[in-house]
Amino acid sequence: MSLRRRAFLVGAAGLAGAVLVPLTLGGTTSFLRRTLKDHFGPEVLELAGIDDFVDEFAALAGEDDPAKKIAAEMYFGWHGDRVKMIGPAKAMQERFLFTILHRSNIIAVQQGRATEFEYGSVDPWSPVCGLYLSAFADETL
Amino acid sequence: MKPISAADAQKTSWDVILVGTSFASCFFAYKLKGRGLRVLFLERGPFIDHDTQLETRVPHPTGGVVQENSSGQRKDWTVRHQFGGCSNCWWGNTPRLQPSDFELFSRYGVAQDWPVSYGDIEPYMVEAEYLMDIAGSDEAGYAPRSAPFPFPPHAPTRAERKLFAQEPSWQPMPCARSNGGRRTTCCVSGACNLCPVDAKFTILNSLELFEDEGFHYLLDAECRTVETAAGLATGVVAQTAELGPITLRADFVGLGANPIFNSAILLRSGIGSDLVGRGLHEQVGQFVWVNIPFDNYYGGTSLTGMGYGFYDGEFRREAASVLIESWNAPPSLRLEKGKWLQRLKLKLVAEDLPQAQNRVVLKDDAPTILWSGHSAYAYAGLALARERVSSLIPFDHEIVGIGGIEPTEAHIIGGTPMGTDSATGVVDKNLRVFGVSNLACLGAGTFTTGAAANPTLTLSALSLYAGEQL
Repeated sequence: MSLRRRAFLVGAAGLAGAVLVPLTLGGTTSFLRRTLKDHFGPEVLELAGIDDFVDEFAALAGEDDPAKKIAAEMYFGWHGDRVKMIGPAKAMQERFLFTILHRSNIIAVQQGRATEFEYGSVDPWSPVCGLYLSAFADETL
Repeated sequence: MKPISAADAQKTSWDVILVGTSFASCFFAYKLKGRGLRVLFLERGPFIDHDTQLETRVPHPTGGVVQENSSGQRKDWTVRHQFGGCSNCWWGNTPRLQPSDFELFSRYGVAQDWPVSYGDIEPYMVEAEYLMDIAGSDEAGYAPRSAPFPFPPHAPTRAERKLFAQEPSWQPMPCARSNGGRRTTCCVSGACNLCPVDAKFTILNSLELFEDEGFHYLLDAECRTVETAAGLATGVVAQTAELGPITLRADFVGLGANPIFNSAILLRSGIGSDLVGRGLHEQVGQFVWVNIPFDNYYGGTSLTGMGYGFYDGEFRREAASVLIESWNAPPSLRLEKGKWLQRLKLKLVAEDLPQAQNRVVLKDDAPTILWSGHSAYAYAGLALARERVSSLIPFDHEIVGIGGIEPTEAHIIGGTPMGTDSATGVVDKNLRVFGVSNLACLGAGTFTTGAAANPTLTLSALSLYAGEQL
């Protein structure tokens, strides 16, 4: 095997590893779970269904731009708990919090008016019936 | 209402041809039912049922119209080429135009009065409200009503409960998002441009109102011109997908397309004065976000309240009327822990005035909008409302954000205005085109002046009124 070919294969393997390791770690998912913990408290992560919500949001985030998605996974994966809140990270965090506040009953859970966590589609363009806030209209008179 | 082929439509001599299949044409046709008339609706687009719209996510319509915009600001125009037109994507708010909106000149020396009054069409407003199963409050009483709303208003938000109790200019927003009646109740998803549960009145979900043995519709057929002879309309030329251009004969023609395309048809036909296409305008809107010290929302529909505090008064000599909308869904939320719901989401919507330079012209036979911007009068109204809106909120609050000028309110007005004669309008008080007595223009294009109130209820009432005159 030529030196050039060997160098190429080693480089490619290294690059694949650099991508796959953080992907395996679930960098974005970890970041979103930390966001939830910081905002709502650690007990929020114990709610049944929270993991699915986080996974769905993470899967949808950056779906239309694979390069950005991989970049985000790498960034969150490598930085872990010490992630610097650069612009895109802050934007994702805000979008994630707005999504869970709008499209789940997390506020009702936080206020003690619901015990089971429920959510609609995380796709903001999906017409989901029954915004959770208004579903409690009669109970809050 | 039955579909018909272009070939069969061409063989028939129609009593009435109506261009478009949205509110303007259908409410006009409502008054033609049971009279043994052969009525043909021409629809430029396809028939897409509600389920298919949900499956395919028919996109929210913006743009699609050629314009030369010299205003320096983004400007969109909402058009919808499909059966039912903009009834498919409207949000369903139905405040009435108020008596003062018909008398802007005699009250305030601005623009010109309509040739019809609020009192002339009030009974038709009631009829339109009943046809659409409108939910509204009889206690509000800002303008005189001759009958109660057919259904009660949706539950107000928490902030509106305080606003309604302490500041009488705040009232429930009447709407066609069901709170009783023939359609399922509003689901409050805030996705009203394509209602997930079909709770909002649309032509499609209310077709039984417009059924008649003699009513037919032809799809994929764009009216290009109105044909005339000896000062009367004899029919139209339509571009069809099936046969290309065809001539259709009729004793009466009603143009119920969008104001842009109604203007284009008249211009292409050489009908009407120099006023045709001029004065195109639209309301101008701006969001206001207010932090409040208690949880808001929990209302029963998307837009639950409205404020008349800046709707009418002597200020209209200098500044536009403004209607304030109070939004429940989609809500504006705060990101501070525990304060997520402590926010009041308002929108200021100002009337605009027709300005001659804002107009529809034909370029290469296609409509082009020449847009130089909203009037100084409209911006003055917005400025006044921004400055004073705090005075209408009778509890602790902090205005934390004011949005930019919205690119559209999706309420196109003007181009074929009503007047007392051909020097002041394109159509008379019965919506007939001056000089062609069996040709009518329908819809908000005929409004002499716009208003801060949403136009749909009033334009539907006008169509009922005009249909009854036929």
